[in-house]
Amino acid sequence: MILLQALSPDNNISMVLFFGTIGMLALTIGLIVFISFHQRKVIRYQQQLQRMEQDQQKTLLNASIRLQEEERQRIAADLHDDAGPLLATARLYLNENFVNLDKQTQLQSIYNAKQIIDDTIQLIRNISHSLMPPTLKNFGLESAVNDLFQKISGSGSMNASSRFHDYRERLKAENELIIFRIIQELINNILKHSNASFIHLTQNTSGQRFFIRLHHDGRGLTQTDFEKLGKSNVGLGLKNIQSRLKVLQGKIFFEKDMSQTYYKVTIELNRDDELKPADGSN
Amino acid sequence: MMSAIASVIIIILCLCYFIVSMKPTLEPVNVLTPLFLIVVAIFIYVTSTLFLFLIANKLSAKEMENYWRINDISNILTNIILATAFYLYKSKNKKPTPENNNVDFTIPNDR
Repeated sequence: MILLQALSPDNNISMVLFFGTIGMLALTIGLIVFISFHQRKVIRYQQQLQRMEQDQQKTLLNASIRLQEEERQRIAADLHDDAGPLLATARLYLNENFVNLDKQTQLQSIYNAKQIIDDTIQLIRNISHSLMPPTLKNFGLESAVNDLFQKISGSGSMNASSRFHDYRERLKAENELIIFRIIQELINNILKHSNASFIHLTQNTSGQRFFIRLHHDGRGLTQTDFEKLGKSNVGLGLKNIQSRLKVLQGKIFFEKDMSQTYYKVTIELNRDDELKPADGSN
Repeated sequence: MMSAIASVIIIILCLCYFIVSMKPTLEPVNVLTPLFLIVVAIFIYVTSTLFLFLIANKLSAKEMENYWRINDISNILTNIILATAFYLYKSKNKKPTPENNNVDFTIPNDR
């Protein structure tokens, strides 16, 4: 009835009312349907994102567990293959004293046992230093990195140098250790894969941001390579770097230099709640 | 006329709510939440009766009687959606009924 009244040619007001109401209703329903589809799409997208994040975390966790196991195996091998035989030999020399009662021979075997025990002490000290560098603990990141670079340079195969522009205030000890491990891992990768002839490390700060940049002239990675390797099953070291950076809430960028001859790796951190007095006291 | 202006203001407010709910946030607004349904109910009522209230002064009493059905139908639709919203709100905030309230916590004396 309303429709008939509205469609009669001499009733303009009714027509406006009828079509206006229908149009508004159609618009309203259309809008609600659009919002509902849009929200569903957003929810699906976020679920997918969450799933991807969970997968990524799982990969990182697996990588860190594998790395721990490898580290344990390495320590076990060092102790078993190096320290074990040395101590066994020292024991043999000391046993010699019970069998051979000749004073001269006894002195000689004690001297040999002492030499072997000294070697073992040195070996255990090396293992302990590789686990936690004492320079890092006592003198900070700058000294530890300089020490590491001096050792690399000392080998003669590569020219390594480092320069800390603004490191008057030390980071927290645990964060220094994490950054040191990241630098170690990156240098390890450069030594193993890049065939570079020099490495140069620079440190700088800009406001509350802390930067570490590594330059080298060998074959390097770009950000795309890094992300690809981070998602694949290979690249354990890179995943380890990622998980360490996650703890620090830092970022890492791999890029090729403008001149296309150097590769740059930049580590960026926020120092907001990092600051600690320069003397390193707690 | 005044009610038409009020309707336009309500429509603008409802549209603002929809725009905010569509923003990419961490938790997107679910369409079947009571709040969203209440806004939808108000929006449907206001939009479907907007033209009626705009032209109401120009209609005769007989015509008004005919067209008032638009308001009635909108009212029914709005009330159905509101009822759904309240039902959803109630079912979401239902208090858990204690199932094991007859458990005897007294220590037995037979030791």
